[in-house]
Amino acid sequence: MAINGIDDYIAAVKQIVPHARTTTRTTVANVWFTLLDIAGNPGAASALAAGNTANGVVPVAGITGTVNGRPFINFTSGLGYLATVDFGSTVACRLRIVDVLFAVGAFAYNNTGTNSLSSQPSYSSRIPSGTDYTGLEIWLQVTTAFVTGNNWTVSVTYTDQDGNTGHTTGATSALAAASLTIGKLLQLPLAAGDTGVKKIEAVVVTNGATAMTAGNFNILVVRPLWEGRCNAANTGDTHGIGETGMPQLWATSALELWVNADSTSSGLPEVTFEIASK
Amino acid sequence: MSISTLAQLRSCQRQRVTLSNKTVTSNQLEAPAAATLRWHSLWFIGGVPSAGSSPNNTTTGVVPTNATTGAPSISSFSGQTGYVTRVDITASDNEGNAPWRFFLCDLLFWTGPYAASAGLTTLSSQPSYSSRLPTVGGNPDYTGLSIWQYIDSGTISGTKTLTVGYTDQDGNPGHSTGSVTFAGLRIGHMTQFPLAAGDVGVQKIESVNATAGGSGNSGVMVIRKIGHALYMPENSVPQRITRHWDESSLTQVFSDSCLMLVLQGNNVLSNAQNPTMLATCDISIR
Repeated sequence: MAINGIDDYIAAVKQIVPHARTTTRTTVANVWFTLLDIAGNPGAASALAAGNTANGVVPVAGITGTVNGRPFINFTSGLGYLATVDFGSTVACRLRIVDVLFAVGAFAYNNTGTNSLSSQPSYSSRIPSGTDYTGLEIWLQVTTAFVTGNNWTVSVTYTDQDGNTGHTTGATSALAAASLTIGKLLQLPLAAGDTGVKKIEAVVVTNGATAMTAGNFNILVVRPLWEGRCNAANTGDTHGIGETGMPQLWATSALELWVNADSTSSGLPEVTFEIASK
Repeated sequence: MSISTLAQLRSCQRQRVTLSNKTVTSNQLEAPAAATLRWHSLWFIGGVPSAGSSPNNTTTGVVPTNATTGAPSISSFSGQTGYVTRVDITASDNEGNAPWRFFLCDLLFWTGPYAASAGLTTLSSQPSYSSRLPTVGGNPDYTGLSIWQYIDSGTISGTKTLTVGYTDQDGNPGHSTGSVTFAGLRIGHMTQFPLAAGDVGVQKIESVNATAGGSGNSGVMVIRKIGHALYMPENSVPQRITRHWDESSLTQVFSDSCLMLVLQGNNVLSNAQNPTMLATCDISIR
């Protein structure tokens, strides 16, 4: 059942989900990084790699027996919403919670040419109405640090939000190893006129001279849920239901915390968010 | 009965709990190293509530309650459901305009203190804290609980390392946190343990392993976070912050909850500034 009013929200089942990291990650100023594989609570993921380069996977919430590093989501029926978010960090930064809908990788730095996917699993059950693919984003996620090169590019071919195939993000500018450190996230721009993505069709890699000699990456499709700002070290805020807008999420949502630090350390972010379900 | 409507929330019985009316000294609050921001429990500081002490139990551990010395007093609402619907914090001093962060938690279980080189201590007959947890499908929800180290007394000299063995949120025993290594911390300082890969909570503490050198006592606690708040002085003037029900998540608490306020101060402190922290919360009951 949907939460349609204040009374519905008050009566809703509420799960409080703390999410904290106990170790920092070296970052690049003003660049997004994942913290999925960093120690904390929930326990760190055992690996960043998606584990499938042929079809891709639809990541899911943490469950018993898995080591994917994602929070457990407790509601099993009805509709769920990200309601309130308490957040803070030991460094000035932006924080983001996303639902990772699709992941393919990890591709090696030298998987050059067109890596076509097939039988890609659908993530339609994790988007509003099952049909609204708008607002989804394509990101590159570095799973193993790149080494040596300075002329590496990637582009992604995809089906857009309306089901039109063969669209492309276009190739990135030439990327150097120093800018592809572990955990780094790089958003790939959609084609003109596109507002979302229904399916990843292919990943195209070039490894020009000076070539990379190591490195691995995933391609992700994510749905952004929330973002907040810590203006200075040891600050944060609380976003109530009016500020979060209560985006819908699912019992299988693969929630992930990203950080965009002002400086070169992720700091120790702590986010406590509430999932309201009815 | 639960609170299900705004009208019920407005009309229900409510009690105001004093979480803290304590003066915090710079020496108590300041982190040992300028680059390290540390969480600090107000448990061991005198005032209202009065200063608490360590459980002094390293064999079974203890489930503290609202009746434990150091815990805020909660009037019993047995048979009813209580929710934190408002948190209010103010300080008497600006501390150089630097921000402070707080979180409120229910201290569910703790054990200690352990001497610096106590080695491995295995607990037995640990008391359960399941009655202090919200339920999911009729079962206590152990997800979202976290394990923390706390300093019991004095100042840690040298470098000490703690590792904790625990049963995870689903009842699987034999899991281990990553180790927490610390030096120079003072009484009340707290450090969170990282859980094992795949874990999101804890059902029971099984063992504590205190290794390496150094001196000073520390212990281990399991907490359930209720919410965070940020205190931000403005223009060198102390401020007041209030979190209402739409921000406090209507988090459930219990008649015997051992509420504890934890703060993270800044590192640039003046020895002349010893702020009094006044914090209250409302528990709405139905």
